[in-house]
Amino acid sequence: MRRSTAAAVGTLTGAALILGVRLSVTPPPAPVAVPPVVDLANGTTSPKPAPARASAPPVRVSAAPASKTATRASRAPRPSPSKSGLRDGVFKGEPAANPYGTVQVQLRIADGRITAAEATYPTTGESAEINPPAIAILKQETLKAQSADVAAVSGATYTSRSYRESLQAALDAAGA
Amino acid sequence: MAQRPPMLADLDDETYFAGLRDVAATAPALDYGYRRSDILIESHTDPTGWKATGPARPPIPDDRPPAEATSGNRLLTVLLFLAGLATSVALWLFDTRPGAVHDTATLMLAAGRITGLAGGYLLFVQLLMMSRVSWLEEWVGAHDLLRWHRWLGTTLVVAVLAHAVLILYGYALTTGTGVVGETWTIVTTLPEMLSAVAATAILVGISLVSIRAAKARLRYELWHLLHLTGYLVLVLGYGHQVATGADLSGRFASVFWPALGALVLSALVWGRFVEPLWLNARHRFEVADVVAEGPNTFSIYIDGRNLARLPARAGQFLRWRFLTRNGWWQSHPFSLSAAPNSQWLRLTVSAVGGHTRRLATLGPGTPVWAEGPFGVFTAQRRTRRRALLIAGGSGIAPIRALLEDMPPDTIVIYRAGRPDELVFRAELEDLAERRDAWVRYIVGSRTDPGPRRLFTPSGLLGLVPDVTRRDAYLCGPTGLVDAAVATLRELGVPDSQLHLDPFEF
Repeated sequence: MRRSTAAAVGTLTGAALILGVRLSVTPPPAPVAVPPVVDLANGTTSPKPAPARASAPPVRVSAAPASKTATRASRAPRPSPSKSGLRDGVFKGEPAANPYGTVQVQLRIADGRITAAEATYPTTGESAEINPPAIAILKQETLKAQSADVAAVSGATYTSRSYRESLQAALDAAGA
Repeated sequence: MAQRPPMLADLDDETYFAGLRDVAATAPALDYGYRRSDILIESHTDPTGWKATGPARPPIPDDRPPAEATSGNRLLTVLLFLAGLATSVALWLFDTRPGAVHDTATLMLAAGRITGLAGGYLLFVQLLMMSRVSWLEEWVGAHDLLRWHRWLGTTLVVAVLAHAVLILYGYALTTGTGVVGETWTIVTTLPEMLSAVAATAILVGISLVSIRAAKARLRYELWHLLHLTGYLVLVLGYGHQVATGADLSGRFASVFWPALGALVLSALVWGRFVEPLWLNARHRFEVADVVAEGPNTFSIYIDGRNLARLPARAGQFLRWRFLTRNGWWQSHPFSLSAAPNSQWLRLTVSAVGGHTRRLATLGPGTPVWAEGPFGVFTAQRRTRRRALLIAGGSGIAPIRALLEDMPPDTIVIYRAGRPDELVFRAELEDLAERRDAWVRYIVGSRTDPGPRRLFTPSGLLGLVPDVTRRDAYLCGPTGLVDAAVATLRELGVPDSQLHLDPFEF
């Protein structure tokens, strides 16, 4: 073909392909996956303690900066551990990092049983789609298992691993 | 040919006139049965619109350059390549939110992903270029495909290694663990990473073996066999691309990437299996005869069926496999040394090594397996009205074939070491007479004054005063071709008028 035809066809093909890529990308989801609003200790919003090294625009609701310096374990005073060996109160585990971000688990223990589990987790890129349901499953499993022996969620390998690490750290803090 | 004519003064009348009759009888027949001057009238049947009132006249030669119809093909190929590369990088670009790259670790991961996408795309293109499909040959030609393949090969290896290093370091920085530990974790836990490591190792191996210094030490067939493991690189590397490629899971990418893979695979199957099978089934080539041409040179005549329908042109080459007990595993790229006709094909071989010497002993009836035809070293690619053909050594083969297709007033420069090394002298001179061409032999070693002067601007200009208005076709040993190209460029001949035939593979 002639040079002019070749130039036109080539440029149009390139433009069409790149446009196709652009149009097929869905816009970034609205920050649906905001980390839990509830701080089990004092019922206010808690900021993420250690910023994830690989996560993107901060969408965290940040308030109560005093909580940033919260100690790893904040307890309500209860004198004696119950028979499972866990002290009552609210305990936060060490944040566990993975290539997609950091997960940190918070536990509320009452009567020696885990009654609530919350976690903060990365919400950028694919994490926005993968993590919310995965974390929800992991939380339910935590309540069922009452220990760190929680099965990993398929498709969320890193998140599951980090969740378990942080959960174990929280249980250790609770004296298990 | 003719003996030295006797001095006129010595002759009596009878001898003189008898001699004239002899000369007339042996002179080449220049009279083709038409007159050069005639009254022309309008014709409604002749394609040119004119007809002569006298005896039939030859068709008006159309020596306009035909290359306009194909001049855009290479440009289109380059543009499509760049479009695909840009699309591959766009997969990362539109998948990454602004602000996502804000520190060293994310920067390394981003760079790692870009190099991964570019490397994967380049791997597809490398294999596509070597698939030997005829449409790619038509568009680009074997010589340029080989040049691009070599150049892109280096880029590919660099991109793949950069991708691996950047990704591993990026993840190591993200998780705060050491590189070695992170590497071990990634390789053992992420899917398809072991095969990706194997693919990278094979790729590095291929690139090391293909360094010119290493390639020169290996026998060509062995080197070629090692190079074929490149197919494994594609097969082994593809898994980790789709399984763990962060940017290859989108909607567009899930169509685009497999489509690229399918294109490459189908081109490979088509060019390496379907087309050769079809060509050989249609023509059934076999050796007809082997004829000596000079001290070290001989011609092989190939016979076959339906040769008139072979889509070959003068100047092209095919890859020949002579199916003898010792030679079936070698593939020789030989040019046709005469324009293809319906009776036979001819190759001319210089016996430079054991393999080529053995070809001189081929018996008639030996089956031949051919692939091709390849090459854009043809008269169809002319861009000017006149041509210059330069041949050295065994490069005379395609040049001799091309001369049959060239316009009038073509100049042929044939460079050889000794006069008895000049082959096809009679044919060249006969063609020159009939097609109004000029053949210049430059004989001598490289240090003789004549050959030395040939590749200087003033020397070449003396032989070809209008060289800037000619297409130059060059075929010969690398040193000769390089010297010729340098001289032609110095004289201001643009690259679009230079046509080269690949001598090395």
